[in-house]
Amino acid sequence: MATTTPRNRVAIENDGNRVDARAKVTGAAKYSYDVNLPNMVYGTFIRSPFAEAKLVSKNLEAARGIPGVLAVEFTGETAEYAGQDVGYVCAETPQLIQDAIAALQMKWEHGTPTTNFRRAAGRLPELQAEEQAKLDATLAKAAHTAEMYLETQVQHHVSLEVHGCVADYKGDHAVVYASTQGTTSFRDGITGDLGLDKSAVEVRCEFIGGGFGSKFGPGIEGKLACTLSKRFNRPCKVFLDRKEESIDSGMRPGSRQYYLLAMDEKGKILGGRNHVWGQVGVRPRGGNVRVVGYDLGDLIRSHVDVSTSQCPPRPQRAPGWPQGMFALDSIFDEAAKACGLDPIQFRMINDPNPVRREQYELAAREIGWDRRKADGAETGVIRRGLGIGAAEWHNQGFAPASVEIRVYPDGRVDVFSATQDIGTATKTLFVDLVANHMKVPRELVTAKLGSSSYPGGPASGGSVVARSVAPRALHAADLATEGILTLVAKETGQSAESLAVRDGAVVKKADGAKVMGWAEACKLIGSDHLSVTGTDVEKYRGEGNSEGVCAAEVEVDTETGVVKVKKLVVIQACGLPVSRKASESQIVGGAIQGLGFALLEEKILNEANGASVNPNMEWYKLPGPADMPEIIPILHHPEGYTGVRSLGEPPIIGVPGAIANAVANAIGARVTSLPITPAKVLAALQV
Amino acid sequence: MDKGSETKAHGRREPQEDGPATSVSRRSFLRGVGLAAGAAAVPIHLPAGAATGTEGGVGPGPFKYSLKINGATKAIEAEPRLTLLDVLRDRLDMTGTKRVCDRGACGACTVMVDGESVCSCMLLALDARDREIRTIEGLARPDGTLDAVQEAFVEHDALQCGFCTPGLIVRSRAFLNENPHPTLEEIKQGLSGNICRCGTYTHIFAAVLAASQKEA
Repeated sequence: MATTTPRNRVAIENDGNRVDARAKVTGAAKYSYDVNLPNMVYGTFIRSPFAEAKLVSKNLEAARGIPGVLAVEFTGETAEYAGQDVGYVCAETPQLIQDAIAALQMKWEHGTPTTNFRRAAGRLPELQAEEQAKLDATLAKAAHTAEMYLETQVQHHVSLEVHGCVADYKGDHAVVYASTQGTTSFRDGITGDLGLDKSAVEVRCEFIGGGFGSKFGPGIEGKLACTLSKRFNRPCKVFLDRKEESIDSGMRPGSRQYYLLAMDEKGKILGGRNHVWGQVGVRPRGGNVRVVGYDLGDLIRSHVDVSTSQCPPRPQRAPGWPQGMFALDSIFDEAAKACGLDPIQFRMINDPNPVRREQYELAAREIGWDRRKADGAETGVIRRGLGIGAAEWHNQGFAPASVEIRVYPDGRVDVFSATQDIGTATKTLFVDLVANHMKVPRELVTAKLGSSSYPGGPASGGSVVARSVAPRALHAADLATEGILTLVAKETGQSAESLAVRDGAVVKKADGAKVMGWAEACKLIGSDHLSVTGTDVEKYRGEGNSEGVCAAEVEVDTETGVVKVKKLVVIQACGLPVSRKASESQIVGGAIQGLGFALLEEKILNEANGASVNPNMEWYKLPGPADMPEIIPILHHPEGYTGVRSLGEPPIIGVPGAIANAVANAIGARVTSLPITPAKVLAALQV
Repeated sequence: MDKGSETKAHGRREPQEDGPATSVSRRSFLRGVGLAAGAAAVPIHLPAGAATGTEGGVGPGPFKYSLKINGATKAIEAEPRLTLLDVLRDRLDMTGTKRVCDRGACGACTVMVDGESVCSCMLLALDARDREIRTIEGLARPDGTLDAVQEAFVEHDALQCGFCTPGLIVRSRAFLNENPHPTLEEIKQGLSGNICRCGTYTHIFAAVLAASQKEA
């Protein structure tokens, strides 16, 4: 079983383990949900069980009369979606909170929610006359066309650590232990609730149990913890339970996507039409999709968001991309078929990206594309198929950040940034970059992240962290080295420019002769420490981008409709790859989440009352161990990719399309909506 | 549940004298809950120090007992309705064991009870009395040497955010105790009660295989 691929060579060559792995395997890692403070109280929300609902009666006195219940307050009596908050409870224990909510004996009535997205979306809108004329002209030139509606579902983030925080208000300042992807964005969202200036609030998040885009701000839960902590002058813990997490912490919006593609006789896309309906929550926004830079000719694009009775979406790993690429890669395979072309041939004609063109060939070799038969050529009960999908990431711009390095007299090196490690191994990235650049042993370097009091770093979103902090860390590393060399130069009467650090020792540049060991050199710092701060310096940015290709092999049981993914080859560029093991993990994680999106996951609403049917982890189907295919993660490092670039989000993007295309190849019929369930497979087979 | 069969199923010893109410059976416990729930308008909670047991049952108020966790005896005073997970995390501050689904669907709260892996969210803490409880904190040796499974998870990067990791490691340890030389397919089946959201499964399989080979 290939789980790590020796062929993955990284620029900074090491097989180092994730630096916080020991804390995580021993249970010593303290997540914010694990923080228990003396004299702590607990808070939670009172929520509507239905959409379009109105509270008709409650027994406030019964709830408030329970000894140990500190507050029961209502902030509203109506709800647009099931799970919307209408009040809150504060009590001495988590159990008392539940007692208080039960004692309220709330009675609700509800209207008719909007749960049928397809009905709400309606028909394809007419084009303006000018656009219609353009489309007609494109179609007039076309030798082949492909037309299809494709749909994607609403997906939950299912962060294993639920949303919340422990707020510790102390009068003139506050420390808040938050489960967050942005210590500074979280802080900026709670200063009003605490009545404190930014400088008096520290948000800490040393470990976080998943976020995937849903944990940028404090949310209502973070604000409630702060309000209650201030009100009772005691630490307050507010974390959602699993049901609340499912129904009110964001989601990946669903979509319906219309495509009409027109090709010339050689298979070159001339243009066509694409219309996207985004299935969003009660506010009509956030439902558009994203696609890679295929050359789509004169494609006329339009988009509209359609509100449904559920919580608003939040970004979820590569927002808009997996849904967009599932649809585009699906219509691409149909278009290829219409032109009588192999799917990879068709992409070579219509995908101008030179890096991805290399990756298609690599993917074809790795998956054994020459075994691929024509769609539907398999005839047995179990039918095999192969499919391909594409990914990329927009590496535009660098988020504001600065990185502090402190070198201590004993030779240790600490690297500080307010950014957080959300499981993407950001700490490990810092350690590998700094140790490699300063030429000191990895064991001496520690990354201190996850406090809003550290030098500013970006939120873990848009895959900006690695590419934004890396240049600053390299700059700081050079400044730190210069600082040490200056001390050594002064001590030994040579010029700092004539010295360098190599293999953990200060040496003469000219002949490599050792001047003194690293630890000895650091003693020259004196009793304190040397501190430098890296900022945005052009020369450390480097070049690069994050293209990717996924190839999938599936087996479809035509009697049961069950799809089994057998193998996923996921090729991903990320500029300059740094930590090999962690980078491979990031790709494998994208592959598995993409598999879940393609085959299993779906939030289902009760059409009558808008309640979620599956707000838990047994009826909301996540990929589990038994669903696992063989996964080959390939770090692609094209020539000229010299700067660290995004790797967090892109590996999920190409997977759903590749799997959908492999299923269509296996059974000769296309399932046009995700997830590809057994029922939909059987319907496509018309059995 | 028939007490005899429970004893047999878990290799469980007879309960020892432990606090004022000595023989809590699940039946009498459930009866207590039923009484409280029946008086719905009346708050279910009774203040601390209220009745701690009637007719050989306990609750709903706090109850004193002890648990044997990682070889140490821990004194507990808690309402009988608390699960083992509640007691570990909220009373003993042993937070290596994670709360995720809180209803036995994800395996994040897995601990070993008398050597068998169980979801601690599905077990009343009272029912773990007189049994050997082992949590993630008790897996490494006292000198800090990691268990072979922990070591292999580190080496194979079998974790990302790390929140599912304690449960998966405890389950993997129990699984290897049951089946020291598993095939890949057996590992997949054996770990099927555990969910990882970041997507590390293939690295976990490699780690469990490596640990089993190391212990061969």
